Amino acid sequence: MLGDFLAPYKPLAVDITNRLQPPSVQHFFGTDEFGRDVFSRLLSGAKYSIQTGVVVLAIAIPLGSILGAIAGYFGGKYDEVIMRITDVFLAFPSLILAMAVSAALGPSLQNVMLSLIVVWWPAYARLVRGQALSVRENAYIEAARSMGASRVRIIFQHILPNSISPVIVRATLEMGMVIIWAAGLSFLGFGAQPPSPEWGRLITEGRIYIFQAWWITAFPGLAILLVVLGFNLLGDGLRDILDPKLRRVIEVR
Amino acid sequence: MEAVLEVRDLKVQFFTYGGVVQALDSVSFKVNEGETLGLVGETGCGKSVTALSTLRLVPPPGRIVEGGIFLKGENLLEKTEGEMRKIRGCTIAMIFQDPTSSLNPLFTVGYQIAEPFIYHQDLKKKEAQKSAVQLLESMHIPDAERRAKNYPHEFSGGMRQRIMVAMALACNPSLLIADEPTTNLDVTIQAQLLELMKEIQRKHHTSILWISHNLGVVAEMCDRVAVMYAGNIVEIGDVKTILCEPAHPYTRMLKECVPTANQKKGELTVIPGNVPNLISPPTGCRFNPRCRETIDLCRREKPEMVELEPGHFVSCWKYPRKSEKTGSGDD
Repeated sequence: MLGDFLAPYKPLAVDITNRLQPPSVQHFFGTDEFGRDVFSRLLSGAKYSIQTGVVVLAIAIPLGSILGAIAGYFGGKYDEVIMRITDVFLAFPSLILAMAVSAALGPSLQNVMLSLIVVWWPAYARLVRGQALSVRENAYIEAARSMGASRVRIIFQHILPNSISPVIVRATLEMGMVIIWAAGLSFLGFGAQPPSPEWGRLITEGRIYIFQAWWITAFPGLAILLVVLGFNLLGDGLRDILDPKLRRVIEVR
Repeated sequence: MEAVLEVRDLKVQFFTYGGVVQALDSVSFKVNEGETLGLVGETGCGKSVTALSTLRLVPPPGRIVEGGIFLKGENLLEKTEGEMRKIRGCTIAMIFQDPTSSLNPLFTVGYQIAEPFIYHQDLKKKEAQKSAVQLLESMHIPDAERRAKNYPHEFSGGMRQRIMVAMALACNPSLLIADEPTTNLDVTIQAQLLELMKEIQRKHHTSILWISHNLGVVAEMCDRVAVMYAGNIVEIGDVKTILCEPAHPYTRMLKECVPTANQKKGELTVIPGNVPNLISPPTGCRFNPRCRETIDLCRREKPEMVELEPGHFVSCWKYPRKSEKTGSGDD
């Protein structure tokens, strides 16, 4: 979010005289074919990646979790219907599905988010369902029912809070994945449209000049790598903190 | 005396892939006001199912197939799910066997006790919290105000069970169902809890349905006892009569199984055989394959309840029917 303030140049400022400059003191990561400062573009593009990751997970996780909790707690018909729908989504190669959805909706960053949500929620539904199946056997669920708690109350008060810790861990681990996918879809032309400096976009644009100006593609790639690595390490750390026993639950999936 | 709870010919079946499990077969009993009725029997004889049925919480694939459950004259089986929710925790409350897992580990104890106040009595959060602290105090939990902010894992098993009792008593129920509340506690804590329950009963005149397989606890707590075997009530009567002069062969064998101090080491009395498979229960009296006194009739026909003396009913062919009157329950 701060990228725009930190950037030494305007990310869209064209400076034809300085086009395709290699990294130097004036331009840390060099300039692209229009003389735009790659470092500035990178910084300002960070917000798109983070934003995509946050938005996609902020919608996909609650959606998947609630559906999963309903399936797991109610069982029976609810379980069948919800889980069969998730199966349909999971059976589809997810990258293809995401591409198909964003292609159908038209290229824009919002549609990329939407398509990623469509691809992402079933995994959470399944994860939470599994958790809910074991949580619902706890005596406090029975006790809550015997106290006259309604089903909605049981799901939100007892099932979800007790199933959520693997979800949190998984979310941080997958934050990186979402960013990669978003960048990937943008790279393929489904996402952010020029001239916005989305990272995937930066790589696409620099692709043509890769032999003359490697820095245009290399630095955005490196940025994606670092962010994803960072989120993965965060996820790993959280996993160890929250519950060492959960390690297996997550690895098994 | 008025009956708070009357269960009439209750039939509960579990529809499993392996077949229909006849978990309860025509169970009838009454719990009078201010009285404690004990429900004893081996594991798997249907005690807990009976308890859950009275709250209409039989877990699927189980279903109440027949019969009636009357709470102060109203049939609970005719209530809607919404009406049942009002009754659960309010008029009928239940205490569970395992205090270690009966509390949600993620919320403070005070919060959890306050909950029933919020949804049964529409109290505000603050007032509910205050009532919760008062309840904890009445459960003899020291420093209740501070302890209410603790999480369940910060309490001992005995304390947790007292918290469960507090939760159950939040709305001053007329019937308390205690499903083996002392099994997981050691004897001193157990004695404390029993004392507490008695105190509550004296104060609020609560009726208790006490489920246990511990005859000692039953002797201590209950006024009357119903003995269950394989989904049937085989004998019901005064606690003294049942424990001192049991009439049904099963009750007698059950009593013999309680080890005594002057028993020789290594000698434990057991009832031979197992609880029968309730998918295809034995015909006639369900106890006949394990009974010492089986006669031909036992294998063919199911014995009916016979009143031996006022208030003491037994279902066994050893006791011939005295008159045409065949009580299906008790007084």
